[in-house]
Amino acid sequence: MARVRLKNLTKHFGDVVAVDDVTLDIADREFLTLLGPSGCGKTTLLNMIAGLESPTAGEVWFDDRNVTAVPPERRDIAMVFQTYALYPHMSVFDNVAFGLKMRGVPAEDRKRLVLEASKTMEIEHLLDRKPRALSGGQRQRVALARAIVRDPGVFLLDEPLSNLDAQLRVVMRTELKRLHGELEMTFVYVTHDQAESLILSDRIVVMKDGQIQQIGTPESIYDSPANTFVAGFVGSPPINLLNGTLEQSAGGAWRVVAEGYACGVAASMIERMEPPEGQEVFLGVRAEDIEVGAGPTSDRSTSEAPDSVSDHSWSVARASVVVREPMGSDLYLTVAVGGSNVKVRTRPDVRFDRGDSVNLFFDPEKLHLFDGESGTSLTLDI
Amino acid sequence: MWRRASLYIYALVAVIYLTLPFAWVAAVSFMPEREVTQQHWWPEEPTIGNYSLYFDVEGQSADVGAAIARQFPRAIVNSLIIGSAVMLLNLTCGSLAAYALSRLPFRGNLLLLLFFLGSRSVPGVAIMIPMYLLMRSYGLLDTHLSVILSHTTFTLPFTIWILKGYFQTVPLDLERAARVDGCTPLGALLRVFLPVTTPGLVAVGIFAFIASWGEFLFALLFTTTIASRPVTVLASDFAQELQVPFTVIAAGGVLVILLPLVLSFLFQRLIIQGIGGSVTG
Repeated sequence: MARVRLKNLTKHFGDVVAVDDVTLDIADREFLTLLGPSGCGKTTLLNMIAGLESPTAGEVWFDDRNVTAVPPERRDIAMVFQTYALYPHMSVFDNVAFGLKMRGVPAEDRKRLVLEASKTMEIEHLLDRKPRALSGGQRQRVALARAIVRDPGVFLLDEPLSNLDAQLRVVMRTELKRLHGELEMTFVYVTHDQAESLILSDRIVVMKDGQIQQIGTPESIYDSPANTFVAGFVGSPPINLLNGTLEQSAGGAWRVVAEGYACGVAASMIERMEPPEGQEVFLGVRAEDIEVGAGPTSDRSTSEAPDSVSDHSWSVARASVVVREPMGSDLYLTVAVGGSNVKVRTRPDVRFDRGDSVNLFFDPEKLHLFDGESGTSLTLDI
Repeated sequence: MWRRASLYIYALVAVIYLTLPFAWVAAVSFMPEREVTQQHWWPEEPTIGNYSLYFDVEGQSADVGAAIARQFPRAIVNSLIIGSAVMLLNLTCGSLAAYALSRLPFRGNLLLLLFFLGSRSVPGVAIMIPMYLLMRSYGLLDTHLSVILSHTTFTLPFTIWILKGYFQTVPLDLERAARVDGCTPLGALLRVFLPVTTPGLVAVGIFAFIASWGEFLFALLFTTTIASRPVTVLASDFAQELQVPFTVIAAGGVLVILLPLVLSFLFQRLIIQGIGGSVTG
């Protein structure tokens, strides 16, 4: 059990700034995920929490203890590595027991604890084997057993699932969630897989270029991304980003206009910001927040076509289907709008196919507006 | 099919080419003297008489070459002392240097490595005289230490190169896991890193030992009496004494080869792993 606080943590490697002034408060027993593309500094940040890297500046606190200068062996942590890092010259039992041995736990207790941990991870039948005789999934379980056996305050996981095949990854993901429920530990989890982060986390920290882009629950990260990077990184398929200009019509209604489309913006959204007329913006809309209807020349209509692109509608004109991807429960359509492509998720019974002309309807409540230059959200209250 | 066959033929030719001289020396060592002059390839009346000279502890024999042969056990002990010391020096200095070179990104890392490699290209003869003067001024002539130090100078660069390559195959996460599990940096080195790299260490250790065991030039230069003379130098004394039977010299040759041969066979698996293999977590 431990609360982890990072204060203005910075790490330079030569001229490269790997982690840039990160301040973060991780609650006791929280499942926190550091999410970002490779090279964003998430692993370096994790290594600094572990004590494997020393920060260039800033402090790491466990509860009320400043551990910045404490070496890893004297921090109350356990870690699971991407490569598992099992000791190849030891049996599974010795691998799991190693940390206990180093901490001077008597042999009898060691045996009992190792058996307990292997029961939790379902590896009791593997205890005599050497790591090289194990499959990837089994190695992962041993690595987890080795970490939980010591009952650490903080549990650090560095992309633990990325070396597993897709099916096994799903199984182990569930396993991790179960573990977090059973163990009273703080989990800090590093991944570049946004789906993993959404499924597992209490909170997600999205990072890029060593800086925190956004901190929030999976829901808030997904529903209210702070900038175009977060919006594009979290969610699959990635959010559709269309550039356009914010305009106010004679009637006072606001809309985003560009070649090929015009989209009305809900008044409630406009109230939250001060939109200067003519501002360049990015319009963000997720695939599932788009309805697709028959276009002007299509006769395979499944929903009513709008009369025109007027002030009050929130529709898009002159769109045509480029790719149709049936996924079983869903159907993905890639639709050309002006110069860019928009991904739409719809019902599998929608019949539109390549070349069909369609209209797109954006859900006005689910729109995101970002500054055209900085990419920062214009609609998020911060 | 033909590819495979030609590969085997090539391998066979290589094996014969490499082992034939040794096989012949071994065969001769079991022949009575007259069979050598009859140019036999195989002893028809095998004898171990040629070896008895070397184990003539009481010093009764007055045969030609007996005086030299009698010193053989002592010379083998000298070779053992020198070889073991060279091996230990190589392992301690070599593993520390290779660890630093493979793990710590310090300035001049590559330059240092190239310097080590370059030092190997200097022929021993070129530094013979300065080395001799050095040893003399430190009063090390005719001591084990002089031979040990000189052998270490040419084995260590090789050791560092091999170990550096081997150490680089050890995943960094392995040591990190050990640190998180409660090891100090030294503890991680001793409890995880070294056990994992055993094949590499064994391989370079044995290579260093064998290189030292077979070295002749420096050993000849620095040693004058049986107090420090290794077996290679002693064996060359036969050449200075006329009339020593070829069969006796061959028996001496076999005795010299024996230990390196046994070592190579015993640690064959580890040596191959250490040279060609890698460590996987």
